[in-house]
Amino acid sequence: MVTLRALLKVGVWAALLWLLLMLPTYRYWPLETSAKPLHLSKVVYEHRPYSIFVSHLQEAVYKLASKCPMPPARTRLILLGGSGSQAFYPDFLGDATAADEVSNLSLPLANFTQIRQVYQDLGACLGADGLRNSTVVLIPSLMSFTRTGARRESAYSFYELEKLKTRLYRGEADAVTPRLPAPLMRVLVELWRPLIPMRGFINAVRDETAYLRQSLKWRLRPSGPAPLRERPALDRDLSLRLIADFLPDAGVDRPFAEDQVAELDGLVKRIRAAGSAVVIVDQPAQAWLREAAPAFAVARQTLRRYAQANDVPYIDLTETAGDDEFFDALHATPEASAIWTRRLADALIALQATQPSALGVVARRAGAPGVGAPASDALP
Amino acid sequence: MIFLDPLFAVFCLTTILIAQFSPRGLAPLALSLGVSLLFMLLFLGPVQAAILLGFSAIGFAGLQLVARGYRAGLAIGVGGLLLLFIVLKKYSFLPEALTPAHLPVAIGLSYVLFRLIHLLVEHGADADTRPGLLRHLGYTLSAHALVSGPFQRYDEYEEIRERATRHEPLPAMARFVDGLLKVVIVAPLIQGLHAALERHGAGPLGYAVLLVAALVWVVYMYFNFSGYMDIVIGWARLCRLDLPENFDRPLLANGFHEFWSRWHMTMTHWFKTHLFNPLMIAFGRRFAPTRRMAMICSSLAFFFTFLLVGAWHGPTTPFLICGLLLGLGATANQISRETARGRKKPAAPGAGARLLTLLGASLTFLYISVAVSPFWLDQREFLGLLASTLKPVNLLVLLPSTLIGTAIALLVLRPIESRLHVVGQAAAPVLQSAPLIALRVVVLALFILGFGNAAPDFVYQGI
Repeated sequence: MVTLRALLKVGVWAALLWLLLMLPTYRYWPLETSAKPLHLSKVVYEHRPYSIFVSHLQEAVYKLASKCPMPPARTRLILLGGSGSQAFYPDFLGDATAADEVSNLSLPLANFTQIRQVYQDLGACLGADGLRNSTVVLIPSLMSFTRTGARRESAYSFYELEKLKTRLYRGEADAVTPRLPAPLMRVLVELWRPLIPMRGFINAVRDETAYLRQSLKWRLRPSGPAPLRERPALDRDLSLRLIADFLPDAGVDRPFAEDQVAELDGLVKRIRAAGSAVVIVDQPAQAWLREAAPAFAVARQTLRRYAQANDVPYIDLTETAGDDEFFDALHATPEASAIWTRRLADALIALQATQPSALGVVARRAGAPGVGAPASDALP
Repeated sequence: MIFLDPLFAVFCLTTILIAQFSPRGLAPLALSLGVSLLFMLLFLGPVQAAILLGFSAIGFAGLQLVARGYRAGLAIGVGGLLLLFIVLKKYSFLPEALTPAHLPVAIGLSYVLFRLIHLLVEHGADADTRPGLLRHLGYTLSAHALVSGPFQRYDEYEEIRERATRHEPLPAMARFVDGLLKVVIVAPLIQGLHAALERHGAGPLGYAVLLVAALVWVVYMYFNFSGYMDIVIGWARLCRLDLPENFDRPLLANGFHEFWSRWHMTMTHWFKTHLFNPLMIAFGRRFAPTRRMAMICSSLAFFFTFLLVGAWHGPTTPFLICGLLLGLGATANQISRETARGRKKPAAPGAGARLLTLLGASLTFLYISVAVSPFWLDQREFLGLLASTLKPVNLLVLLPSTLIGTAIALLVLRPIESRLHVVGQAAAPVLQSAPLIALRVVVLALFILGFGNAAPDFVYQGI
């Protein structure tokens, strides 16, 4: 009994300390019911790193698990894609459609396999009715065609790796499942709160240590430019080299992993089989980059042909942005994010004018205000 | 790592709770044997469990041979077990046909071998103390000491089971938690430092960097191994069982033999009882008892003992070389001790003598660190490190510099080590209060759950 009492005593103290660590996290990630729309924080398109999450991948993993199951009756416009399509403001796109809510679940480092995995997880939360009440806007990029493992030697996608890091999931590649049923996962995600900022803290310490080490080294033996705390803006050569690093199979000339083309097809079929409408959007790319990397043209052509062959509504935003709207090779500046969103909203409105059923359940009814007119006024 | 498996937490907690409600803790044979079998099945898997059970059962058959008075029973038993051990451990000098490729190397096999040989030698012929099958299995496969030891004598094991001491729970918990802290946080940090040093092992200072890496590896090994010890000792105490200590502040050692009397003490004790002492007795019977002959005999006995200590650490040729180096070190230390025995010692050692002692201690650490580098260097790298010692610049500049650096590090680390040693024990009661244990538990949880990667396995596990 003495041991039992001691165990309880230590357990109670540990629980109290844990609760104490949980409290500050509510400031940055308030408790939300599953009825509240699924929004990832605006780190990318507003460049405001105020979130406690290390990345959108981490945020998506935790938030999806914390909101499962979601109310199925609401109509949803769901944006899926990679880091480039994180630029699109979900809350402003709602004005261009009749959707009750808009969720942008575009995640960095996404190929079609990862996009499909996110869609599957979302589907598990929405259920069959919820999926029927949704329309998916797929916004892939050149990077969506790279095979899993091309950027990091692993059979798991980055989304799955993030799930495994939480230790709340387990399983083989492409078969990672929660350890516990959804209701218990929600409880565990709550309990896991103190762990979420841990990696950010450790990363910050690691980055600072690396910077101090490099600075010291440079002071002792100055050679080359002094190390910088902030990452410098990328020049064109470096941008191209980085993109080539992401495309190890064929460089910038040919992006395709055949399995990813099949994944795109499988994803579209899966979305349609669930009763949802799907639209493909080709996101903006810089003119010089399109010329320097022929793979962009190949990806664009493939998407367009696929959309035509399978009767998927297609919006081409590739050439809509000037080079000054990018802060690096692929991503929009904060100001451009708003402009891109406006263009997408206008394109969606225009699409509804020509193909009234293209957006499925979230299409504005004919005659409703705004259909056929630009949504620009409603946007920044 | 077994101890970080959530299932282990459940298992551990269950055994502790059973021990609280059972009048004699986990001491009853059926309980302890049941716990051991379940531990093997859950954490090592059925194949490894079958190997360990089979190995132990063969040891029991050997025990019966000795019990029935077969003259050669002991030799057959010990020899047979050693041969089987070499095959099951897949020693690299064996032809491929003899190594069972489909069988995994069972974790804990070495410790089972220690216990089996101990039983054969000391209890085989003694009908009063020889265990029956269940006691035999309970002792050789004891869950608490299966993965990382320590080795416990059979009579001690039985006495402790009889006694079933009820320990203070908070110090035992503190010991358990501190062990996890060492294994999960401290050891990986040191391992990271070692990896960084290893990466810089080329260039003009490469030799010195590798020597420092070797020293850092031993410190890593210490935290990893002693951490595992703290975990199992703490867990056993909460189950009302006692395990012997395996470390006694090894950084305080001033010489080779003193180091081994403070490091992996139970293994040293086993080798002393079952190899060194019999060798000394055999030499004593054969050779004339002169002082010179006694020195030669003891040096030889030390050499063979440490040769096998090194070879026991791993199944590859570099570990045989490691044994050779340890044997030579032990012999040199023995000769120097015997030579110094005749000299008069000053009543209080002066500064010069203290400095010499410190340098001797540094040399010991450096020598042992280099000798055990097969844990992290492959054969080519290990031989390269040994060969590069002979280069004049290394021998005359880098080696002495590293030696002085080691001496300074020892001066700094020794007081810290003395303090660390008391953590979790009676000398630091404040650290054994429930809130401070809970604080350590929270820190551990943050590390274990917050990092995707697992803590390193027991340092001997992959060997």
